Amino acid sequence: MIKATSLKKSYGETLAVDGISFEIAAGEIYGLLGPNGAGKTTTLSILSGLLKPDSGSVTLAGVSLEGEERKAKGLLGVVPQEMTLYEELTARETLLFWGRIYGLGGKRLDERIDSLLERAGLAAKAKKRVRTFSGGMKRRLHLLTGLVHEPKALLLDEVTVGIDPQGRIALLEIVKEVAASGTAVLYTTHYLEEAEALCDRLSIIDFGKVLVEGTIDELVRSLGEGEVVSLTGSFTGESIRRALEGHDEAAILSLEDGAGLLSIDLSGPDVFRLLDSLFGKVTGVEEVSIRRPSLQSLFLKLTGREIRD
Amino acid sequence: MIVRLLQILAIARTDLTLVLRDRQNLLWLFVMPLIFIYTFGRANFGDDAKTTEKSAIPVAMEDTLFLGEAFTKELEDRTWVGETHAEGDSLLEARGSWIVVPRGLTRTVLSGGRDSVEVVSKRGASARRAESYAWSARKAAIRVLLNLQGVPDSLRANGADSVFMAAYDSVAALPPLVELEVRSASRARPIPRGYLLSVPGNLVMFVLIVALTAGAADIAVDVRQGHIRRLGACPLSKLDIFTGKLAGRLLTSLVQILFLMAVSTLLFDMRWGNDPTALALLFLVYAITAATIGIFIGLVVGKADTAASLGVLVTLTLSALGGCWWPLEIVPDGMKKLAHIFPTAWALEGLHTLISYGGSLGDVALNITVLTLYAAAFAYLASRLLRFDR
Repeated sequence: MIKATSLKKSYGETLAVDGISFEIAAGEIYGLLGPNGAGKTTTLSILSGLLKPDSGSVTLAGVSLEGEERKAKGLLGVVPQEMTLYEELTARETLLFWGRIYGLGGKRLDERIDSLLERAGLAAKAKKRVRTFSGGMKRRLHLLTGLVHEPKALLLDEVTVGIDPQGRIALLEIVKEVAASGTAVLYTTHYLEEAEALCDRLSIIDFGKVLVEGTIDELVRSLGEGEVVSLTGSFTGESIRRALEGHDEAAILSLEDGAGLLSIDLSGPDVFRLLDSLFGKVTGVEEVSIRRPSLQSLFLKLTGREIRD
Repeated sequence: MIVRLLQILAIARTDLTLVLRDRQNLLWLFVMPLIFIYTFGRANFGDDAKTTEKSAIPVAMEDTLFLGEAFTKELEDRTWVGETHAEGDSLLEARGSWIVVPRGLTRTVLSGGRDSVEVVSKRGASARRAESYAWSARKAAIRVLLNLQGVPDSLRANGADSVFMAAYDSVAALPPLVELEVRSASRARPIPRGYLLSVPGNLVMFVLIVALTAGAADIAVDVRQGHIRRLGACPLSKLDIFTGKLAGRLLTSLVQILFLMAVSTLLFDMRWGNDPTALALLFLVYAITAATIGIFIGLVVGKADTAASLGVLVTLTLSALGGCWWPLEIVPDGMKKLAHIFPTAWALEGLHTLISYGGSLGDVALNITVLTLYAAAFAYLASRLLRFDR
């Protein structure tokens, strides 16, 4: 349903998107993760038809965005991070506006709006102006503006920013239902736990490139069977490397002076010898944290940064 | 094609709704223009600023015989009409200035004596109005004296009896032997006054205030809050979005213009000339021009506060120099030429031509053409600035 092929886009000397490709099937929720400046926004802008790529192509439900832009955009729903709601319109007027923008009207649009408002728990507020809504209600209504025309492909950019956990759960439920109805969903978020709970597949991008792509299980398994040990301090990377020599139960995920991410099987028979070697020989380790392999540790391994950095 | 039109209309309708739901906008759309029209109209010619009725010159009538009435009748001309009041009438005080026809005027004049008609003004009354009354009184006195010359001396000797009065009336009814026609050697025309000056001037200014100033700020907000980007991701071309935004502002201006026209007609007896088509066309291209300039400023500046401030500056400059605050006929030639750099001057000149001088479409064709060129130029520049990547 959404197919991006070898997308490239540069701004002067800066290569913002460097050959990104992915394909999202009907009914699939696909996460696009990356730290700030990784190229997510540029990729989304290209997929929305707001930016022309220097090379590469996008097709939406088999329709080329370049060749048949108007038709392709008609199949696409976009919900950006910034809230594009008019505060002085009512919820119903807001959805009427976006419905008309997508060429809908009449009874069909009215019925669609009724059903959407009902589903989002906003039916009672249909005639209230947006400015009277809470943050969560605004986010839900904002999501509906991208759904009013029943798109085949849906781009959701950080749509849960700034809402309470309950509101987030309600909103994500709607996203799951939309996908279940056959819409291909591209989802970007800074909340990795959200991506883990929602996405069928995802890719992590940085410096405009896809670093890894797969299901959550596949990606987490790539970190190894052991726990993820994070070290920070004033040590050198080389001292860690030397301390781990001969210890097969430990693997380096990422390493530089002052910061290391290791995968260590803490249930292994030689774990005490390993820890003795590590903390006995290496000086300057100031902080150690141990966690189970997760998307977050994979993200850290791949990008060297937390997702919110 | 119909779908595109409906999409454009959806943008325009929403923008109009948003404008009309903003109380501050309502103030500038409907309330302030009326206050300005009334104030400017009164200041420009006080009570005499109504456009269709002749203004009354109050006359305190102390003369009980024929000649006082004849004099009052002769006060009537293109602008004025005499209005007789009894001596000491309290209404006279309220008018500020009035003409006094002295007791015994008829007897004194018919017996060959001299008498005086006076213009009395209260302290603080309009000197300009008193001067107008004095000028009318001089003309009326000359006409009365000329008419008297036409009555045979034999009848005059009998005094103001019915035979004399009939003879006077028959002389007064004769067409004048000499008619004075005043025409300007230049292209200058009589200066519109009162509401004829105030209504078009304020219409032009307040359309600019809303379409340009508020329009500039609103489009800057649209860009900053991502509305334009969001629309860019919809099945709309850049031209569709621009046209929708332009149409929203145009609808707003048309609502404002129609409201002010209706109220000015009802409250200030404003009349709109003989060519409604030309008037509609002129208003339309002017409103489009104001809207395109507003969108252009908003897109150039990009911040609502700055766009509003710049909009106010541009609006005031264009209004003042374009002739909205004072008639261009009274400014030096250099200022007149400068004024025609601005669309306001072309719009106002066209409106005066249609409203005050009975012009038709042919007379304002140049004004409409120039305004269309302005609109086209700013529409082109603004559409170039409408981008989705910011």
